[in-house]
Amino acid sequence: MKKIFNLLSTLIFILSAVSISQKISGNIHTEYSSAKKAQSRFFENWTDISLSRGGFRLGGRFSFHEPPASFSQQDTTWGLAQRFLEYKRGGLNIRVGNFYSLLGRGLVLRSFDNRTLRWDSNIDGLKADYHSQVVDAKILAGRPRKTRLDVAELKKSKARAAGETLPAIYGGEIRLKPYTMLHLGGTYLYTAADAQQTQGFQRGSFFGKLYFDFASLYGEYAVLPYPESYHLQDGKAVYVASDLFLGDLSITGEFKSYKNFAFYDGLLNNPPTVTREHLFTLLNRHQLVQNANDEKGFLVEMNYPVAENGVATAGYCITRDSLQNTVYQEWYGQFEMDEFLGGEWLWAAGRQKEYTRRYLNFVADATYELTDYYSIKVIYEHLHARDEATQPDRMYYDQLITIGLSKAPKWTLSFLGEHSTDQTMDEHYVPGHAETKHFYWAGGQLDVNVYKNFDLSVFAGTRRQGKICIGGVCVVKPELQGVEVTLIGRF
Amino acid sequence: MRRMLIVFFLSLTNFAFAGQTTAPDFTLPDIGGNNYQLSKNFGKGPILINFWATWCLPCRSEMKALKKIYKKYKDDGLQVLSVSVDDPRTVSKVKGTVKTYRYPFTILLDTNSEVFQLYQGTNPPLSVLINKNGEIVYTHTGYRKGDEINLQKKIVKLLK
Repeated sequence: MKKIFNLLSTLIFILSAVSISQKISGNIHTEYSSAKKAQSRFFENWTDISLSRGGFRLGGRFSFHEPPASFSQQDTTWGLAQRFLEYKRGGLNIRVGNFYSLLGRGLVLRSFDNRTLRWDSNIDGLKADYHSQVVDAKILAGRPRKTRLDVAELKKSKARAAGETLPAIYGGEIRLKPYTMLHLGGTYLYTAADAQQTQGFQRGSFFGKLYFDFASLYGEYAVLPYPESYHLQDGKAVYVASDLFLGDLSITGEFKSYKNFAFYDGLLNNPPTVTREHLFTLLNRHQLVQNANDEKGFLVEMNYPVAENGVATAGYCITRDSLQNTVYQEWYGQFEMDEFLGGEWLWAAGRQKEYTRRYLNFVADATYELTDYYSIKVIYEHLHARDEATQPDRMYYDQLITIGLSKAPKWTLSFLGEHSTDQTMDEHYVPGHAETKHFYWAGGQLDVNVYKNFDLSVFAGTRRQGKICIGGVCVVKPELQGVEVTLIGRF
Repeated sequence: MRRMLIVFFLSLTNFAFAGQTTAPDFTLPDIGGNNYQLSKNFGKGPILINFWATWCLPCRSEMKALKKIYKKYKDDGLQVLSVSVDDPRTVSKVKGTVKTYRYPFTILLDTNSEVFQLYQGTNPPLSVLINKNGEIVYTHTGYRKGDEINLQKKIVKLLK
């Protein structure tokens, strides 16, 4: 560990010294937790560096991961995780090495990086993009990184920072823009055969987009004809999104229908989930876990400005499987009001349902300006849960409060507390048992801008284990009892 | 441990003294379907690039403050590029949000966060202020009420 620290510090120092005279840019992201429980401890670092000269850019990522096993399912890894050389001129961009890419709306391919989820599905190969006012084109070839390593593979070999890779892919996208209001295009991707597969397979999509002042419409239809040896029904995916503006009222609608369309369990594609994305913790704790092999559903959301300072939002979404089970359903309402009782207010209420479980949520968020630079923010979240599958129905509630005092642009000091009666938190829990127990977590957090673009965050206390979901991809972040330090810097 | 900390903080100082860098060029589509290339807009005045997302609550507060700044200085040459980092799951809500909250800026879509990463962004909001020569003069991550006062001072300095 000490050697790695020394190596990392030396590397950063040398590069930082060079940056005085060269066009070097990059970022550092370090997370360290000294939790009481060994399985909750982690230390992770990502350092991105790139050097630009003319139209060229050379860069790489050094990463170190010692994560809790339950969080990322990876063993300790460190090393050069990414490297690339890029050339840009006008609308042309060519990149060799590691890259991320998106075809269409992600039905056919979406490789991306999300630190919160510890998700990194970069591709190692070649990518070329061309943009003009009449056509956009993209071609790519390479081997995608296998984001999550399963336990069996970890036993076989020591995991590398760059991760294991999936079979090679080749493909691209073309978008024609004959008129400003009409775009038409298609995507194509071929996955080569690997040791386990006798044949490679291909998939592609057609998409179109219409732009008007009062509305817009996007539609994409994708197919995946599986080779006979797979004994699978051909994959199909349809995604439609539209906006409609009637005076001040805006209406957004989305529709999805996905069948046998998750490649490598969703490692290579991530079609839109057609659910609302929440920022509040409890609303986000019970979200749809995407299954692009069997999903159908829609979403409708309306926004309306009320007077000069308010906005009202109402939404509904539902996802069903082919057996007509309601996999996920949500009713949601939100109202924002500025300059109300001297502050900015937001109230939200939601009713979520997943199979037999129902969750009622309520959120109140208030921000008050104390002076030009000082402000205080209070968020209260309440969740009432009921599971009809247990006898009698299992019921519990969670409530969470966050109080933060900020001084711009330097620091924020927050208190976070959670209270729950969820009996499954008790290791001696017996289903149907009537006794109610109370569980508490509390902590303080200091976020401070240490220097220019370097921000430090220190949390001390306890924090509940919780599910975090982004775009249908969910991870469980382990419970914390101790100190967590995060440093994020850009240069 | 102490030696490592000293080296680490010396590194931060080095980065802090690094000179102004040219803003990396990019081409992104706007919400009307047209492509926007950053470098073609250099030389007209300061450009503020603000990376945001529909699901980001601090971004919403910051956008309210940016609206006021933009209205005040747009006639002096200030350009505000509001780059949405909404990915395929939420990008369909961008236009509705822009209409509802009446954002007056140029709205660009960075659906796979490739430009956001080019500007070393990790979490929105991220603000990048560029002078008329295309050099980055100020960047700031996150938003606390009052941050806009510092930003406004930087903009006024560039407009002089």
